[in-house]
Amino acid sequence: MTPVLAPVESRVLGRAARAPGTLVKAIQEDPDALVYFLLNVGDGDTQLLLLPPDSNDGVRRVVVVDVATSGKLPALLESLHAVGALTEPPGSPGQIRLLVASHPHQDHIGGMADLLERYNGPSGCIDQFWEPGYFFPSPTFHALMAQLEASPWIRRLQPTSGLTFYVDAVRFTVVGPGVGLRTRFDTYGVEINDSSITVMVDYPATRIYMEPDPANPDRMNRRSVSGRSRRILLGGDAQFTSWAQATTDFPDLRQEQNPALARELRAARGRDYLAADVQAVPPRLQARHQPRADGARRGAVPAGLLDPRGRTVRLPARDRDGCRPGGPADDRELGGGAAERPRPGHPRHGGGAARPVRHPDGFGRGHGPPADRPPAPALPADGRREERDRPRGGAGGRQLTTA
Amino acid sequence: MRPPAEAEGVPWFPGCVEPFAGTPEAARAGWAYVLVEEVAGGMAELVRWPWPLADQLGHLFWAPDDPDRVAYASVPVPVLRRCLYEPSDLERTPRAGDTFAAEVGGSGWTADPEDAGAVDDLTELFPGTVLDISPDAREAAKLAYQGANAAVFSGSEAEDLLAAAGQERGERGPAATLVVASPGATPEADGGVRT
Repeated sequence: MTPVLAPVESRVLGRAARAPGTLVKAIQEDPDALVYFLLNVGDGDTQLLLLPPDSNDGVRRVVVVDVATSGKLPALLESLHAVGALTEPPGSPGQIRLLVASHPHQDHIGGMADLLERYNGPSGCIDQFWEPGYFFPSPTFHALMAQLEASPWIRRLQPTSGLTFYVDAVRFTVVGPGVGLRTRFDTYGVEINDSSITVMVDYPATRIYMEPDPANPDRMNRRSVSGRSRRILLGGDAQFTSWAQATTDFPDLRQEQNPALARELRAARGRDYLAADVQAVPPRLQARHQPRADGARRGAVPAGLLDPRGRTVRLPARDRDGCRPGGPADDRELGGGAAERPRPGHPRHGGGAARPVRHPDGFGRGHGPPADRPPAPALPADGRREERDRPRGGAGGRQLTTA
Repeated sequence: MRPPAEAEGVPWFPGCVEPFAGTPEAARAGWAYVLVEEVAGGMAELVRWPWPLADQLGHLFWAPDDPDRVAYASVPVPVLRRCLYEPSDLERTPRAGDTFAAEVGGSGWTADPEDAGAVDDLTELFPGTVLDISPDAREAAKLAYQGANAAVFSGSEAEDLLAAAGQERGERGPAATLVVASPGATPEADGGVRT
């Protein structure tokens, strides 16, 4: 059976940097990069995608997937703006291009009502809001719905598998919930975690380049070139039922179910369609007080830069025990601080004021290699070589453990 | 939009609770809103909230300081089934979203979810009456969701429909009173539980 997950080979990882200021410097040196943050919010998820500058106006905007707590994300946005990585101040119109509530659990939406209160107004900081369409009788859910009801200018969507959304050079493809699952929500027979929106993020969305026409230098030709995009798979807390539905909607995921179809799809798409560089999916949900089977800590906080040429990925090294607990400096930067616990109800709790940048990789625990560990080798400059080196036949990638 | 202050709301008082709580004020003061937040790894994570309020437009909300009064408990799913669901003739398996109204009290709750060790004796969580209010809680969540996403119309446009809906609600009757069995309880032939 073709493995779905395969470990990331160390040679495809960029050099893990430890010096203060390195991540900010890296962002500045690679201004077209898409930057992915998974914030350390304890038992919960808060993820930020700093989009590459829009090709139309040069403005960097963001996509937010889940907001577990009230303080950290606003602090990070403030800090990113302070260092120039975020073009406009937090709250600017259209800045949050997309806000995704993967599913209505406290540890995924606990800070959303606060986020809407901070940044949402008729000027329209939040352009679009996705949620699975699963109603849950928790106070946090009621608070979020009340905020949304008072924000009619936000476009809402309840996406199902197959929906594709382009934001300039980045493509978002919904993998789950499948429509066959979505239509069963009203029975209450679908477990809330399986309602999770799973979204695949591709950068660049396409590879179309312009070049001068050799016969007429005043004209430009458009060329489509091969070359893989960088991909992030954000899975919420989707469990078995959701992924089982995904195997129906995406035959590539379990190729032995229909080998002929899988072969045709592969030929048409030219690559392993579901291969991802970064996967943030829960291995299996466990009760809060039980240790993780894989030894990983909850609330790991990696960050990665995805270069449009597909040649740079900067991710924290991960030791054999999972995401390494960070040192004292790890949690202090760019709106960091210790793991912020999701609090119940309307989040008027944690502060999280913007903090000066002292350590570029210090977005929280789990970032950077242990002091006695040699840095991972740099990624080859030629992204094509990396594609050649990738394990075939499966969605290789780095699996981030979240819950 | 900040949550309204407690003074701006009235206690939520669905008909299924009325025969037990008596008055809205008594519901707010003496009852808790207990939600099965998560079922994972064979454990059900219960969260106990103060009784909710309703604002002038019919939204459920919790007062700003209510989160500070939240309590947590983790219960093995088999215990929840054996000691609460089965004695109460709840045939469904415990699932996230199940909601209970419970008289306040119980020593098994903790303020910090990280401290919520497994509770094997449900009488430590529910020393008094427990009601299954899942249908009403689900309906309230559905109303919140649909009201947030689509237009809400004036009742004057559909008085007949509202009257019919009211009659239907009235026919539902009170919430089911749940039996909380101690760990050593044994079921009896008549379906009851001897503790």
